Amino acid sequence: MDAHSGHAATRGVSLTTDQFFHEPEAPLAFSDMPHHGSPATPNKVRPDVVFQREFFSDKIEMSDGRRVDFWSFKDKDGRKTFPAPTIRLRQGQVAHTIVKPSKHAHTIHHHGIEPGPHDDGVGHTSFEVTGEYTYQWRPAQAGTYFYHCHVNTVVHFEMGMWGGLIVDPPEGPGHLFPGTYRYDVEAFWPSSGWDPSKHELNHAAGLDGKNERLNLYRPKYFHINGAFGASARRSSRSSVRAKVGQTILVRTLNAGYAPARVSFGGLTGLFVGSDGRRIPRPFSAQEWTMGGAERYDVLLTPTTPGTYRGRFEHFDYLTNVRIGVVEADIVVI
Amino acid sequence: MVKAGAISVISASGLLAWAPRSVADDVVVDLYVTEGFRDLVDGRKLYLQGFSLGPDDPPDPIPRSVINAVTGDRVTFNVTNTLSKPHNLKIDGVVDTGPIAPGETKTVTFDAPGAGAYLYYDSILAPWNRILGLHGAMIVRTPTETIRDYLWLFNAFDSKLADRVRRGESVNLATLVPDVFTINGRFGSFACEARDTSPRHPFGTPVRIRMVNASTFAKSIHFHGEHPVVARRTLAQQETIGCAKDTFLLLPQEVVEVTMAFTVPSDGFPVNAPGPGATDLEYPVHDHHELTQTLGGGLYPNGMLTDLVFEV
Repeated sequence: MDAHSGHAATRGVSLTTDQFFHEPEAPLAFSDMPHHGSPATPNKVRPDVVFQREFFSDKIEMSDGRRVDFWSFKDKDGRKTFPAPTIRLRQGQVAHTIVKPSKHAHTIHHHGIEPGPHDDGVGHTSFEVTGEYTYQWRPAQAGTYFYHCHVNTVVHFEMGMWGGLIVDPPEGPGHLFPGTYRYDVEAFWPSSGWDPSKHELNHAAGLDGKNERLNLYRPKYFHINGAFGASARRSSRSSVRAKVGQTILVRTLNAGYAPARVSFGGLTGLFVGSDGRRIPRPFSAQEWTMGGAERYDVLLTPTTPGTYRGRFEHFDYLTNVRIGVVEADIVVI
Repeated sequence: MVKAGAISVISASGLLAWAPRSVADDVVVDLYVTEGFRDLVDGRKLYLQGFSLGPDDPPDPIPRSVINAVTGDRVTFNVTNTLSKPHNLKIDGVVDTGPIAPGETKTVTFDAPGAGAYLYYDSILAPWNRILGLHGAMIVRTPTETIRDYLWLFNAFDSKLADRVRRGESVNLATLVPDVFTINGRFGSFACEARDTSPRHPFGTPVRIRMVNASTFAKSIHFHGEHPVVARRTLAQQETIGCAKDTFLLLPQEVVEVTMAFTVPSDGFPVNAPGPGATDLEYPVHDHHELTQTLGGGLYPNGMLTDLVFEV
């Protein structure tokens, strides 16, 4: 509220903020934000690692027989997965992410990574890409991140244009952060629900002002790391296998548009990291509610053999009523 | 702003703290429950009710008035209802005027609560009056606070249901589908351009951001460019206080306050440090429950977002 200016001038009476407002005549034409063919990367250098991500579209058949369209990114080897292939590197490495949007406009925002705006992948603060662009960045801190398209995000993210991004400490996989939180087994648990009505739209849906009901979200198909419905319990994408005495690191991500609650089948997790940063005072919990795009790094150290059902419960965006559950087994031998 | 008689003490944690001021100030606030319209970019009008500064003052933007107080102050609200149905003003755990009949004024006086932002709102017909716009924020600061601060009041409006209320028709909460999503009553580029909402500071300027969720559903606010640190939460997840995060869950009616350092974003190469040839760095902040990035079911990104600008 430009609070201190107001505070000094008017403390003791109510403050109208009009005096501080600069109202534009009309909204910026966000929907007409500049599209570049293949803009140049500022200060481009030879990278330590290169990731290529190219748009593709496909369908996934759900357990009820419905075939749902999705869009995602394939890598240089042509691997077509949902979520898109994980980007993984060590802290301090100079990275290039080459995006090839195909015939439409797309970007890559490395969520939680903080490069300059030119490499942040947001249309209204930089540009959208129609030809090819190389994002240059160098992660300073190990942790759990993800990446996604930031064009008409309400549609493109829901359609599947995202993947994991893991920054390892200098010692590489096996430690979460430099010198600490060693783990034996690792799981990446992003979870969300797909609203099939959102999977029948075009890339630019709503940008022209037409009411495409993009303010509605009624997800029906829920997944953990791309394993939908009942298949998530035993899918290699989502299930976890460990031995008593081993430490399991679960990198959780709420990839939906509403709160979700994660739990670990009665196991108590030690929450040690969030959003690519250490939690200064780690805490223990059996379940935790996450907003969309939040990540928590959770250590499990089961002492008894058994099958524990990890679970994401998804809640309605407006009513907070539970609308979906998806489970993955944590098998301890 | 420390008055004579204030006593400084060293708290058990070793941090400098201040006893309440010995001479309390009186904060007197006149508010009026009013109604009005706001023009939307798609040509429609949004019906609003709100707490205004004058009886003929339309409630736009919301909050129309932010109440500022200092710990130790006595705060008085004189609330006049200019509309035809009863209304009230409430701050959970702090004060409640009780129902105010049409045309009447009620006065309440209370001691300013502990430092932080508070949601004031109309709790009658909950949550209807609140989500029609009858809400605002009170900010209480300690006498010694020096950090620059911003209020982000998140509001969401259902233009169709608001119009039904205006016409006196019945409404059903189960059919609530907000289609206008704002920060401090502004959406999209308006919030990005508003100087009271979009922080623009030189590198190294500490800033407190007070996020208040006036809507009926959760927000998940994502900062590009920096990981602010959680300083205060009012409803849940106290375990995260002190955590640097890029995304923050806000439950309905929750207040979450974070501190930004405006440090040089750490992951560019070359690092975007101030220096010859450097330019301002502009990043968005937005709700990652992306439905709220829309207006009227489309027009991404004309919803609940603003910008951070790191100035050279």
